[in-house]
Amino acid sequence: MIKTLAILLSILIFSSPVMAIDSTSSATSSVSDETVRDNLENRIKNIVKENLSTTEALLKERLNQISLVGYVGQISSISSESLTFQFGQDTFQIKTTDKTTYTKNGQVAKFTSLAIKDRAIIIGVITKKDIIEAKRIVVVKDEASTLPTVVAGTIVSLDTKNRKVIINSSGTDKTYIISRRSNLKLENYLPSKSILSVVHDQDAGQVITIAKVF
Amino acid sequence: MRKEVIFALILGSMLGGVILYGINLANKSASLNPQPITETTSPKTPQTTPPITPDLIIATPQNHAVVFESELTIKGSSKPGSTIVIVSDEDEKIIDTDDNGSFDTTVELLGGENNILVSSYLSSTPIASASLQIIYTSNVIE
Repeated sequence: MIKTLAILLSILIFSSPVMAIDSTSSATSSVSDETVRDNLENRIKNIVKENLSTTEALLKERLNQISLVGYVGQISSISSESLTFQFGQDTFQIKTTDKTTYTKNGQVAKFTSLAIKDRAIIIGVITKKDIIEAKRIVVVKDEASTLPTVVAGTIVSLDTKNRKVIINSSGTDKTYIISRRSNLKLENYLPSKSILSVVHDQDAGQVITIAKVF
Repeated sequence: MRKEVIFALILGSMLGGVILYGINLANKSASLNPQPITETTSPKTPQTTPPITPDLIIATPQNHAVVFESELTIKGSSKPGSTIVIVSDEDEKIIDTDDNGSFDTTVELLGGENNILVSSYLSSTPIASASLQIIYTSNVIE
């Protein structure tokens, strides 16, 4: 009895769990044990499979979002289910699918509502060079955005009363208004200092909104 | 009878071990997979490589990226000691690069089209500039 116990205990201590999974390792295993092991293996496989599927779906979704590109340009031609899109000097062929969504004038639209010369945002995936498979096409107003300009130069003079500064940039003197809403300190605007400024075209003139004086 | 009980106990312990090992294995494989998500959050589409000049590199975002948050992080590098001016349709920033020439800032975005100009200056001397067109949408695209 003691001998049997010792043998069984040593099996328990020295056998690894991997060995325990092996159906051939135990000579004493019964049919019900094998069923239990099979069930267990199946359960483990299922758990792993479920986790992998979830992770795969998550990764796919993330990859789809990451690989998306967005272009703003003009529709130059339309044919059945596809269109040609002009972005600057580049021309793209836009393929549409059943899943492509369309928006025009802020409302849900159809492919047929697209027109040549429409300015549109194309969101999709580049499938080949110059070919985009569109996920979403949004027709927007034909208004090109105008960015503020960066003026870099040297301060010539400062009119603190009127918050005006003359900057020499590329050999030309120009007057700029220093915005009141900005936290620019006028005492920094010393003549002959270098300046980097962001200038907006406004009704009052050219207004500096942010600047750095060196 | 006793033998059977002892054998059942030992077999039960072994089965418990197997179950624990299995659960551990399943948890490990599940927890290993999600890690690449954080690594792949930066867009890496070869067709949309950002404008790169030797004196100004925009590391992120990629040109023509589609983003889903109104705040965009712009990271890059230029010459050490240079000043970076970023102007967009909605925001503007003047920032200094660090000792390595790296910079990192955020700009606010408008819904839809966002044109961003990133310029690098040494004092008031222009070094390089790069344009980005970024699309911001709050709607998930399937």
